[in-house]
Amino acid sequence: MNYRPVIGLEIHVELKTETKMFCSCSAAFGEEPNSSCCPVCLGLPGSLPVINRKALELGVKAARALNCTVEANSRFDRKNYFYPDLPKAYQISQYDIPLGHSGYLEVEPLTGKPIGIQRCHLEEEAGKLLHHGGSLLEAEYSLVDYNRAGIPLLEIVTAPDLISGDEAYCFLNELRLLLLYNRISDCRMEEGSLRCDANISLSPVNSNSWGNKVEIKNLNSFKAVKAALEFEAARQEEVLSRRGEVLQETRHWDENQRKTFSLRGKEEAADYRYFPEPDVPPLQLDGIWIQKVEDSLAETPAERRRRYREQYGLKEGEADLLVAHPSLADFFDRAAIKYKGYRQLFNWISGEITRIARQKNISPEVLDSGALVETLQLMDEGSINRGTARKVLEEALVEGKNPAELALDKGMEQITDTGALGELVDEVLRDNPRAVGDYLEGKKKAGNFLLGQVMSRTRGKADPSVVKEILEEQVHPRKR
Amino acid sequence: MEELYSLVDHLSNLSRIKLSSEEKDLIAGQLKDILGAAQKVQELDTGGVPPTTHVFYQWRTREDVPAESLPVEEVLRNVPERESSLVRVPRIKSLDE
Repeated sequence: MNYRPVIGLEIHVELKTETKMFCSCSAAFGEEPNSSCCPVCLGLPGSLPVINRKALELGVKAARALNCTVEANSRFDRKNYFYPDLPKAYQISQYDIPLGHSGYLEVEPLTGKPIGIQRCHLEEEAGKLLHHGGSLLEAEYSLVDYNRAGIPLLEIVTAPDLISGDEAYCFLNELRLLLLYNRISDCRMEEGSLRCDANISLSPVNSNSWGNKVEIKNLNSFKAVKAALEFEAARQEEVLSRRGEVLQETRHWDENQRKTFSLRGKEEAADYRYFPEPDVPPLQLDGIWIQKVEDSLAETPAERRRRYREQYGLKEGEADLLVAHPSLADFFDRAAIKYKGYRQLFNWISGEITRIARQKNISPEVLDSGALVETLQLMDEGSINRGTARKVLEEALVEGKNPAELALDKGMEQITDTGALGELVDEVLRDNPRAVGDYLEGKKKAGNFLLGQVMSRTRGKADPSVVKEILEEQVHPRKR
Repeated sequence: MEELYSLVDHLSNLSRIKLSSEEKDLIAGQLKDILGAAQKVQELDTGGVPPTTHVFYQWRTREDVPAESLPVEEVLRNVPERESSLVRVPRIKSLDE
């Protein structure tokens, strides 16, 4: 390839608040259309916006998590544009003094290359447009729901430090985990609480000059970001290779055709007539408060992976798997306080806990880690075998019962009394002289048959390895 | 003068208002006066004056606690066209149309 892609991302995340950015309307998803609106978010005359403290806190938290400088005297600006998703005909955003700037994010798979964060700023979300009949430009008419208008939004702009769709994908995954672990946003792309636009230009190898930049929109998943960037890099290279010109434009990713399309015709640079928002006084953030917010930051996903590897002895892939699923990782942490068999714990969480959560549609967040710990302890003591442990665990988690009681109640407790087992083994040996004979001649099948007989007489409550031992002991003396 | 007319065209385009050539003459004249007045103000030496964006610098925040919103019927009372509880708006045209 004679060209090197230069990629930057612009990410919007809805902040995890109960209410909107500037008014007390609910920010909940999925309410009846236009039922979470008030004079402030509709921009009715005489209403005045008041900043949501929690949104501000989450904004500062995100800024610090991204190693940004927090601007104590940041302020809001008014961005004017006419579009039916804005009831006020302007959006309160931040322009020249964003809340955070000049940061970076270390992405573990992209070692040794922190990705620059140019800025992150607070703004309000627009309403949701539903285009009736086809896409944006083909629609007959559109329907608007203003419930979303005014929900706090954080815009994060990266430096053009990424060089491939793969890198963009890795970056987005790490950013998502960072925001999830810090409870800044729930990052649900399917609900639109995380969205991403991508900018890409090609730069000739061995040159510092950049080609014209193309902005890609309508990216509905991280995989779409990767695929669209790969498509666009190839498209631009093809244009340049026949000495054509890449137009500076906005292109639309079509998920079905897996191509980008020019979205807009010739367009003048937008003129948003930004000016300081007169209704919201500038911020004067207190240094101590900023420090307090910073102190509440969760460990980064990278630190967490390291802890799982170094402190708990998990393998790299295991640590990655846990950290990629915050609710499982948190479950692991809760359980690891009381149970030191970390590998065993990991295996049960990635296996049984994941299965139960999925089958019963319960988030591991609300599953009781104590139930797993107690079940594993019962198994370690030899009171129950692995199969029984699975049953006990599931019932304990789903019904909220105590594992030890379950084991007793259900008669699930393993027979560990070797005397009682010895009698049973004796019985079986007496009843099956032919099998004993075969076994003594070295026929393995006969041994398994005898073992099965004993197990069935205990109704599966014995530990097979113990039964085997007793069998061996009792069969061989007969030989002599 | 030519600069002034291209500015009028730019503004007319941004505001989606078509202007006749007479109207353009009129607006260009008015714009000249307005810009002249702004120019006059800019002659002042404000080097030592910190920029003032607001009259009040006292800011406050509120707790993140939901309160009652308006009833849907109230929200939609002045909406010209609706479909159940959604606002119906004309199709969005591209700038070329």
